[in-house]
Amino acid sequence: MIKLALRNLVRNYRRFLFLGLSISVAFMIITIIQGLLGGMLEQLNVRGVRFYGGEVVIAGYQQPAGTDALENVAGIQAAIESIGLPSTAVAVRTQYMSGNGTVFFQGQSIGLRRIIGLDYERESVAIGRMEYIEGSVDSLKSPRGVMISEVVAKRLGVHVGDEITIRLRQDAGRLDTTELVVGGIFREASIFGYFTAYMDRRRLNALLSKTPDEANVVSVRLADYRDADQVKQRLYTALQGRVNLFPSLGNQTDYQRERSKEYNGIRVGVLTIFDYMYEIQTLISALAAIGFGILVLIFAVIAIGIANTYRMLIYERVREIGTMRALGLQRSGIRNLILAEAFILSIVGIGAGLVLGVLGLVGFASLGLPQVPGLDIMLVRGHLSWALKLDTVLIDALMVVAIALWGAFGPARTAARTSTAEALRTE
Amino acid sequence: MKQLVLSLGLLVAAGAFGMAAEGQQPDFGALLKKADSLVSFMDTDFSASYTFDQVLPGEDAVRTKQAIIFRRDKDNTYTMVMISPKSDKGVGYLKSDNKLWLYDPVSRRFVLTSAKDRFQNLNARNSDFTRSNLASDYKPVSGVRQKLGAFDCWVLDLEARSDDITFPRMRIWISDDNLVRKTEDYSLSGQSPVRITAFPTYRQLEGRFIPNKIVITDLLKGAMVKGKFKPEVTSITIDRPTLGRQPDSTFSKTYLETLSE
Repeated sequence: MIKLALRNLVRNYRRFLFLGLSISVAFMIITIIQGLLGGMLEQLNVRGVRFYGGEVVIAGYQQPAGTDALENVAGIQAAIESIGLPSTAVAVRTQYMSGNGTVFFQGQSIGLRRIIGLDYERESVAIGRMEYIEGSVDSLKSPRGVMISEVVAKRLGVHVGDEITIRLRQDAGRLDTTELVVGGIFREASIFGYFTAYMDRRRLNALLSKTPDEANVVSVRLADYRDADQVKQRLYTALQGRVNLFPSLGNQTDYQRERSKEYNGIRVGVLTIFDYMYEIQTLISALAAIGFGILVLIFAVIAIGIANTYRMLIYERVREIGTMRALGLQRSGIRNLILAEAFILSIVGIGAGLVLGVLGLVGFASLGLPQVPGLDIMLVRGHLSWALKLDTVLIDALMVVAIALWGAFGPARTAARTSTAEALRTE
Repeated sequence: MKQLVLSLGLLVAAGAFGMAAEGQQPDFGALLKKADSLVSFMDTDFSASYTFDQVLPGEDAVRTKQAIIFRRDKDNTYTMVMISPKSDKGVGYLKSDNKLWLYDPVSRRFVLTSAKDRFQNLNARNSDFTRSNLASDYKPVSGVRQKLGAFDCWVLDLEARSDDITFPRMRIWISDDNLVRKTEDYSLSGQSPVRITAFPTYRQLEGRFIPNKIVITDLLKGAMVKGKFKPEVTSITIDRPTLGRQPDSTFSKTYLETLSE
């Protein structure tokens, strides 16, 4: 049946050309939309992971001191390993997030929103993937090294090798300063990096009068960011009994609310980076919803187009159908033949559309775009980012095949019901 | 035997000399208390006009701001109202119950600010306008005699008594008349001072001392001029000081609101 359908399609390719083109253009648009949304999500994830240390974040807060703090870091690491995650995926950080940090260079100063103290050995690969204007992550091998953003470097006129002063206010209120050597200047999206600095965790701990091994955040990097919610739940269960946990948290607002309550000691919360970035996530969900709306429209157009085109094709091929019936092909055979044609046509259209879509994405990605705040989340080195997931492409392809079959099913059934004599009589 | 007697004699003499020298060293804690008491007004209120001149290196202009301050040291409170420039007129500060309120006359709202923050983006801090708390905030670690210009001074190295003091270490020059002439503020681990404050002259009013001028040099902020670092300097000139009780309402939010009407 497939052979016969294929021969029909090849011999009468002009008849099916328009329908095939329609399917391929539709799938091209679907591919481009999915590719751009995928790229945006991937970039958000990649940047979020660098910023927060991993897809799942374990953060603690101490009251009544009102400071970010964790206890039993070894126990937390053991809990992570107990659910089958490798220790190499774990980042242990001290993050100074009070916004009271200032960087000085030759009398000029600029405020820092976040100073991240990390372990070079654990995070050099992830942090090394940032776009560097000057220097590299290797500067963090030295306790005196610091990496600042391109925005901060430009405002202060700093280059790699310059010595800067970082001043911060400790939790209790006293000021401390340290001189560090700029070893890396990175370009990062506005929300993740304009006013962020990376330095050695132990050096930051010393600056904050903490013990060298203290940390206030433990993060876990996952192979697939879409597993974050599931890992968060498993980790929450594994942490019970090891640390004093907040109730299960939905997003960062829940965390803020819980930690502002009155209690004594350190309590710990488990969040995904998407819980932290739920506002951006909401924006992306809105974009995804718009994308989905467009996809539904495209699918509807494909369905109607196929149904109409097949109705016309059946009308044109009624004598041919009559002949096939006269030669012994059953009603079900006629129906299956038309469905097989639709199936092959949709597969060919999907293949062509996928190729065109990927070419379109490559074309978009080759355009240089300005590093505008907001848009920069989607950019990699000034170019649009895209990503296609195999499962997404397969689902879209299955949808198009299903719609093609559904569109062809009505006309196929009508063709199958046509009586042989009547079909042969048709001029 | 003669040598032994001589050695013992020298040892005793050296010990006696050392004790004598130690005897000259004052009680540094008491010295700080005395310095505090000369510039604090625990039995009356204080008011004055403060003029702030900030010299920004590399720029010819001097940024000038003026404010009136009312201080009630007994309650560790103060009210400060900006009178110039025009854009800041009516902006008020009220320190009460360990809280520092900033009043914005445009929005007619009070917001909590920190005494540790910079005052009006100048090199002074909001905490610079409170009563002097040297003895309670810092403990003396060491002291040496040193001449500072025309003044013979004790130079004391101080350490903060608690973690909530902005500058954990301080070096202070106290002249023999028990007045603070200079301070250097240090961060916790910094080897160089981050701020220097000078009190060149004082005036006497009803037995108390009020600085005529305070010069604050911020050693982290400034600009490179001809390849050399020039720090930002803010001079505070204190005029028309008065001592005498102010109405209680002066130290209230209502006072600041009324002024802007």
